[in-house]
Amino acid sequence: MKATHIHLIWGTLLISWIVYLGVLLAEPVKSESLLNQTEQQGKQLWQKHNCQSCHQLFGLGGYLGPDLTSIQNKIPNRDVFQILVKTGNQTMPAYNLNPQEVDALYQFLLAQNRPGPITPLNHKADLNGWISKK
Amino acid sequence: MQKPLGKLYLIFGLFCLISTLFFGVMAAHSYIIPGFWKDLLGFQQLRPIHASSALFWILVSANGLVIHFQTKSRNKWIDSFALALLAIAYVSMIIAYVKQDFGGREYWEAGWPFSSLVLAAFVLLFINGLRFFIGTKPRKVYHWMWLSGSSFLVLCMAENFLWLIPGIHADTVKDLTLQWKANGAFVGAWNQLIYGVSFQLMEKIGGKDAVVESKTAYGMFFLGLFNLIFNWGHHVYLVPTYAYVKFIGYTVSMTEWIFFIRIFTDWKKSLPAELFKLRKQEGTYWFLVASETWIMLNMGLAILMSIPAINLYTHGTHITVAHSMGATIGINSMILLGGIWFMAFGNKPMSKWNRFWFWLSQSSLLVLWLSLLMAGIIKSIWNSEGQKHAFAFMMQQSGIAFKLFAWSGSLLMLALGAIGIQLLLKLIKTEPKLN
Repeated sequence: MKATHIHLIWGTLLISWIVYLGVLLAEPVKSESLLNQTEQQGKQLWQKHNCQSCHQLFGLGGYLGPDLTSIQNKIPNRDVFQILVKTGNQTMPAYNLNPQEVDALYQFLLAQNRPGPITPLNHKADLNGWISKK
Repeated sequence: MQKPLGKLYLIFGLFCLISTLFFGVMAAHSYIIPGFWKDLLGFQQLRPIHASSALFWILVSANGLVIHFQTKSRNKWIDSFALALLAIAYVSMIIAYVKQDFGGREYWEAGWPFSSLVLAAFVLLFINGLRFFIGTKPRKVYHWMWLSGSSFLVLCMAENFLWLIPGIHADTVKDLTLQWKANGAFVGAWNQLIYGVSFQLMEKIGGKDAVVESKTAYGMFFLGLFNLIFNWGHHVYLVPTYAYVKFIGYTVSMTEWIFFIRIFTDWKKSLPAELFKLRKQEGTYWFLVASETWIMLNMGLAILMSIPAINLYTHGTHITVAHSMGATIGINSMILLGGIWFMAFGNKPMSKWNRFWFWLSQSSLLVLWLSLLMAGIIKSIWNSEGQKHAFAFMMQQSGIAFKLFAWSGSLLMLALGAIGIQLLLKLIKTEPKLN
């Protein structure tokens, strides 16, 4: 293969990477995906305590614990959430968070449901392999 | 002067391999013994130790082999400094995990100051790789692969820091999308380094360079690079992200592995019968054949998982783990072990014991892979039924799969550990072979 052709294709692909990143960065923010101050603090706590090691958000993360995207379907309210976080269970350690931190973490998890998770229940498979809303 | 440096990278890499095997088995036991080591070293610590050790094994060893094969134009001080940065980053990350000092993102959980050391090392390795590339003529396809690998390791690692920008951190959709763009492309970047090594090995073992200079080889290289840039979208079908990302991901994902199989087939055809018989005794040959087999298994799984209609059920299940284990152990690690074996033992026939460890590693990896698929299928069914039973009940139903996973993982640790320790000792004691 000619060296000039290789340079040209390689350079085009490198530029494509930059353009694709630029397009993604330029995407306008959707209101449902924007976190407020408390939710952002909750997100930092999620990272600080490495919750993603066992739990998933949108199916991304570890698999030892349940996916917490639709938390309101699994944990009825903030008080139950606080008991779970502060006492732990057989596999989950107890976390010494103050009430404000528990609230921030809970608000962050609730916010994950705003953009709307995609599940087999609310989507169907099409013949061309694509998925669409039911 | 370059030989000992590549060797040092590989010694460090093999140490990380042994570490990832041990902590992986410990983490796997958390699935069958609830609360296993919870008070000493819980799953939230074991998982990042295992994952970071695996990443360091792959990244450090791939760079070590590249440095070993790039015998000119590299500045040894730059390579030494990069190695020191990687070693400091690894040790400090493990200490941070043990102390439960997190704050980063998946695969780099120890916080951005630690991963910035890795980025600095990648920048140095890229500078040295570029020096080699500029000083090398005629260039072969694996030279391009190594340049692409080192360039995109820098770009993707830098992309991994974008979440630190407040506007991105506050936007759930953009943050998730960029995180998976960076992680997906990062795997593609190290694959470029590793496949470059496998091409170099094919040339050395086969004694012919027709395959590595063919149009097919370049076609495969560009297709790999194209996939690195665009196919990560298949990770985010179920994330509420932009529709075009998913569409591009789906379209591009369907193309990837075909060319690589063709290259391997051509390579086997190019070996004369007598040489083929002789090579059958050698470790490098068997590791490359093993990687070829795992490419086929993982290719099938990857193509199926990249179809959104199937991904709808498999996403967030152990089927994804089966794919990543198959790729990192079956493909990446087999090529890396083949390369290190070639350096340490050259053409020397494999001993009976080594053949035993080799076949034990392959059979235990197959059981591990199948057990993960089994656990994934159980969770997929649970998902498709709208999660009507409790999560704990579904995990209980997967008990047999998790036991098989933990037991086969233990055997895999034994087998790959035995091979890894032998290579480690051999590298420490002797000068590696160049040809």
